[in-house]
Amino acid sequence: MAKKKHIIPSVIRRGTVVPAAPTGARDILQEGVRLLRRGNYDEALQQVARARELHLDAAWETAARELAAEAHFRAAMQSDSPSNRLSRLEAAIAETPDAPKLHFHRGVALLQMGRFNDAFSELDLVAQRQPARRGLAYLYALASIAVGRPWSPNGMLPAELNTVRLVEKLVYSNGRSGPITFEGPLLGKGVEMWQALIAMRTDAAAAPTRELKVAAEQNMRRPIARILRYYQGVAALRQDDRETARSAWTYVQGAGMTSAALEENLTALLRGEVIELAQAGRWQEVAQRADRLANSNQDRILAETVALAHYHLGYEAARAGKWSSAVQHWRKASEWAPSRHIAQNLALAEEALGNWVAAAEAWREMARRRPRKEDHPDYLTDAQVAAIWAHAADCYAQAGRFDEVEPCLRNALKYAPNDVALRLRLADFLLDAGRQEAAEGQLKEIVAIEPQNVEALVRLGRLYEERWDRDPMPIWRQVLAADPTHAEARDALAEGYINMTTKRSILAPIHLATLRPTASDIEVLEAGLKELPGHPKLLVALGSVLADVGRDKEARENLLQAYRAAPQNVEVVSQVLHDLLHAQAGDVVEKLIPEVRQIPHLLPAFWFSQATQSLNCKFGEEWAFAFIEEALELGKQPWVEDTRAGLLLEAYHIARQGRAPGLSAELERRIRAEVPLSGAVQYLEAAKLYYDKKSKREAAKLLQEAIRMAQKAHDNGVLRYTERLDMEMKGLLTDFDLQRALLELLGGKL
Amino acid sequence: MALKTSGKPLTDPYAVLGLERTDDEAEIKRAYFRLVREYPPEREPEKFQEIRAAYERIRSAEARSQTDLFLLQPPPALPRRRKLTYDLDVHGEDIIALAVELGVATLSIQEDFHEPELPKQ
Repeated sequence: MAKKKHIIPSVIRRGTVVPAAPTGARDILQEGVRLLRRGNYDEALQQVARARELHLDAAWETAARELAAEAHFRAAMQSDSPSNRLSRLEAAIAETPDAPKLHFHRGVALLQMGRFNDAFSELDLVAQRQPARRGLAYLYALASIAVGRPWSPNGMLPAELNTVRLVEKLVYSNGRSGPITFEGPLLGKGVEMWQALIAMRTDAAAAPTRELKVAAEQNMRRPIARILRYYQGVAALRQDDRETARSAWTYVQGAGMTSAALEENLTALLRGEVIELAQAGRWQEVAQRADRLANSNQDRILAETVALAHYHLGYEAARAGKWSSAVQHWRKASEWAPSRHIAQNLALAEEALGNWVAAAEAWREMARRRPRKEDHPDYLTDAQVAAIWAHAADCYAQAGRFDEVEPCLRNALKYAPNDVALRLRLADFLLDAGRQEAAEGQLKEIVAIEPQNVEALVRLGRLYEERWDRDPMPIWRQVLAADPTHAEARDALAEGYINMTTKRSILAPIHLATLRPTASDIEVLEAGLKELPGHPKLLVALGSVLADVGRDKEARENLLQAYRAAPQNVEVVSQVLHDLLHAQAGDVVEKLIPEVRQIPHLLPAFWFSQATQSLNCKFGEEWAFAFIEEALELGKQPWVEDTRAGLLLEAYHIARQGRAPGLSAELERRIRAEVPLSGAVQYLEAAKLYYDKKSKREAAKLLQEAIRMAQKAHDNGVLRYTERLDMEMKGLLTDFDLQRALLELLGGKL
Repeated sequence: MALKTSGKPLTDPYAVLGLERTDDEAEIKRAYFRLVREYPPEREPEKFQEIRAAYERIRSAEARSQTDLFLLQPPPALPRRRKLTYDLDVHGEDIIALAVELGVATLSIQEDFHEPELPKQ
């Protein structure tokens, strides 16, 4: 078993005493003293705190206090800063309030800080407790002079006494008290400093720059040298030597001198230089000067001038298209002296750079920081604030940040609640986002503000068209009340009437084949025509219904009226032609065809559609043939892109799907005769093999031949068909495509 | 000058009408009618449109305040600035501070250092 080692405290080892305090506290405080000796004052204080945790008795507490006070005192003496020194000394005095040396040094620190009244009180206390203290008489005399009290020459060395006398003369001289003289010896190295200061004090034009420079070099202790260097700067400026003044004052500022005169002079120097440069338009130099002394923006005029320099530099950069540089300058301008116009330019520059989110945020910042007082030059009216928020919304939209768009628009509306254009933008945004209820709310608010606002009413009408639980017809009537010629409203209202008829009711898609028009349908459409006289869609619908019930003559009249009302509207014309055939008015159709041909840029699909419908409705192959002829003839027009072969194949498919064998045969003959090298013939053969004979392999061979020939002939019309058949044969068509193909195979019948 | 951003052109209506930003309403009107005479709509429809659009944007104080909000603003003129005066006096406080520091320099701080004694028991 290891022998236990006993640690004997050093005091016992020396055989001097028996410990009365807790052993731990003694050790701790001894360590504190050791640390004090080594200059580790804060660690010594930590030891004191540790010892105190052990609840010391009175004697040890006194020792702890003395150790703490001494540690604070030495730490104070180590510091160059009078304020740091003062706080350390006060901590020491809190430990040992009666120690004269602490009060003496506190008095000195207060003197150094210019707190002369406090310093006088403190040194007065020391003078009562320790009157013979070295240096006390001199400093007490200086404090007395500073507070305008009498002082005593007792206890001072000759140099101290001479210096105090000279100081008193200097402090109380007013330029009328005659020349200031002094007797040696004086404190400090050399008499040049005193001579220079006397000269400057008594003569406002005196500028002993060189003497003060020499004095500062001779008295290098920092607190002394910096006062002398400061006055070297003052002397230099008395001779308008700004460079020397700036150099001297910058030095003393760096050396820790803080005085109102120094701050004032440095600011005045900088402001003067900056204003001169600004007046000469030397903005770059203003900015450079400001960069070197960035902490001098305490002066409002200086800050505004520097901001103006950056404003100019940013504007020049923007004019040269250097937007990044502009942004940097305007940001700096804002740091020096923010203004609405700088913020505005900054936001525009961010936009120019495509930094849309940054731009939006700059606009928001501008709105947020705007002055609220109306007499402020940067005051923004409510309309302007609304415009800024709306613009921020645009910027967010540009960046794709749609989550921010709505809040911005709503903020804009707070400042311009009656701005219907703005509210319409919010409504459109909500509509785009599929938020119909919210959009409806905004649109209704617009209509409440402006009951005849057509744009809002039209949007509301469109919105109601998409909903089962809203009737759009009253809205369209409101639109027409505001603008009786509004085409969309007229059409929509007409559609509303048509939708009320049996064929177009919500059941129509299911029972289309069996539903027959009723007398009430005619009444509905006639009512519609009363409200919208001559509306072509209503006329067509009425003509169609009348033809269905066998009232052919009236049908013919209505259909012709519809045609005359909209002879260029292909939708109406198509319906008119077809329904005229239902009304047994083929003769009228024949007369109209030449007119219809004149519709500008009519496409073959128009006539193919007529052919398909005529075959579906069993009007006979001759009508289909006539319409197909029109389509083929139209194929010669320059605006028709399809090829002759492509049109013939389209016509052939219509004939086959319409179960028109004669027409099919005729078209096949034409294909073989007119476009033998286009690949259309081979395509036809392939299609027949595939659909009719189910011979996929043979069909594929022929199809390849058709493709080759069509490619050679550059016949895109044929290639369109070959490609489709090819995909179908390879099983690449979608379900929808296959259903269509199946439907075609069945001849278009359900 | 028409300053363009990458997003949308910021056409400066003042530049289109050959005006300064500081010009008043009467000057704006005069410039507009002068340009309309120079570019009548029947002969120069596009130019006229441009002039008209620019005029609409600044013709009233209200429209102008909205338009100005989204145009680059040129820097204002340098206001008349007063230069600060210097304090070139010798201050009594500085004389005292100098004398204090000269006195402090003669003090021997070490003399005030005192190592505390710990109790003997």
